[in-house]
Amino acid sequence: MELGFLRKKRENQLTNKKNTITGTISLCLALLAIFLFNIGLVSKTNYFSIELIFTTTQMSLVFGVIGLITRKNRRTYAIWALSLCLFIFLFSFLMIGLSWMINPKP
Amino acid sequence: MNNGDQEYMNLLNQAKQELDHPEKNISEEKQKHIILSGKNRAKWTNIFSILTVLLLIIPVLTLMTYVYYAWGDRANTLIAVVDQTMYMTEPNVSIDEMKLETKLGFFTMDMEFDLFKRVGKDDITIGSYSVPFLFDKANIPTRNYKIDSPPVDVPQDKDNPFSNSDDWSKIEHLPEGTVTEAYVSFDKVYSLEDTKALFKKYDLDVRWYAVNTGLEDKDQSTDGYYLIPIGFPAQVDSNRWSPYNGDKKNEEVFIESLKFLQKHEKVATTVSHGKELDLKKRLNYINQHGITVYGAVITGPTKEILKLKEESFILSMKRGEVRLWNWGS
Repeated sequence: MELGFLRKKRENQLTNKKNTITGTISLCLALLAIFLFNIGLVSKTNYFSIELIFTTTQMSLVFGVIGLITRKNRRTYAIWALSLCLFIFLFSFLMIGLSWMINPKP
Repeated sequence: MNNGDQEYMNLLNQAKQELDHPEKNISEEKQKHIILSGKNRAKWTNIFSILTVLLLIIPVLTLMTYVYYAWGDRANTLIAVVDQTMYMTEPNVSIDEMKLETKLGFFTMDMEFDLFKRVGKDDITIGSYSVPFLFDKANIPTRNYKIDSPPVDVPQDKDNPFSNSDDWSKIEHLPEGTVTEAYVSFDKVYSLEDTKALFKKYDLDVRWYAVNTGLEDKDQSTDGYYLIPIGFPAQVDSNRWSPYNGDKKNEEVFIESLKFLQKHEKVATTVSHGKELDLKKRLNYINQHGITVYGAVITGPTKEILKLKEESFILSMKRGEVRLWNWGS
């Protein structure tokens, strides 16, 4: 019985290596958020509002966390997406701080 | 070992082999499926990797730019250099520091601001100024003047504003209800107190003092370039962000500005309309001889300025901007 369990597990390792759907969705949303960020930075306009970018990031974050706790499949994309979300939040936080340091007039 | 044991050992060995080489147990069709899904996974991982790298380039460069300009107060130092250079080298010109804009690109910074002049009792916008920076190196500024006679970049001797005497006749023809800005040079150098006393009996405002730095006689720098006059505002600026906001005496701020700009002379020279500022030599001269004045920018009713024509201490006059009456009732 034990050997049968080990055999099944090994077989699963070979065949079931798909990333979680939530992780994939999360990564796509994180990339979309960064894409919108890029457009904002290049065009220097608020064509895509900050709210839209942060909503996308938050959705990516939620899907990423779900993808992370899904044990059945790979969690690479979920971790990847969460890293990108962290980057977006860190980037925004640093940019606000640094902007205040440059020409700090009301 | 009996037959039963032998059979059990065979089963165990078979199970071990299957564990070590599970692919032998998988059908060909399933193996194809595994290879196909592996290829797909690799393809999408590659796509996502490339997208991630490409999309991170701009944010990372932007972040690095902000860190570069914020680090060590670099951007604010450059802003102060530009600000103080304007007050020092542009007679009767001020800046609204609150509206000074900085735009950051990739390791570039564009500084944009409006220039103002006091004519009579009103501040008029004379144009805008834009200074591009690459890292901390200033590039040639763009000046957009809105007035009729903007200052020239590097005036030659014949265009020197203090050598033109025809301007008296020009303002003689101006009507009474006008106010005028005038650049005047004196017959000799005066101390600040004496200069204030010279204009005391006139209903005029002294706006800017042209400071004698020992090089003005020749109007040439040590390297032979045209030397622009330097000076400082005569009045306290009501703008709290101005260096001449009244916290210290204007002449003290001027000396501090000279010392500060000497450390950033390359940027100050590029930003000013001269080719050289010779600040070290000028500062040494002022430290030795104190602040003396050889000219000034004044503003007031045109007819009041006209009265100065008879004064012996006025050597020459250059007319500046003229506006309709705003001197009060």
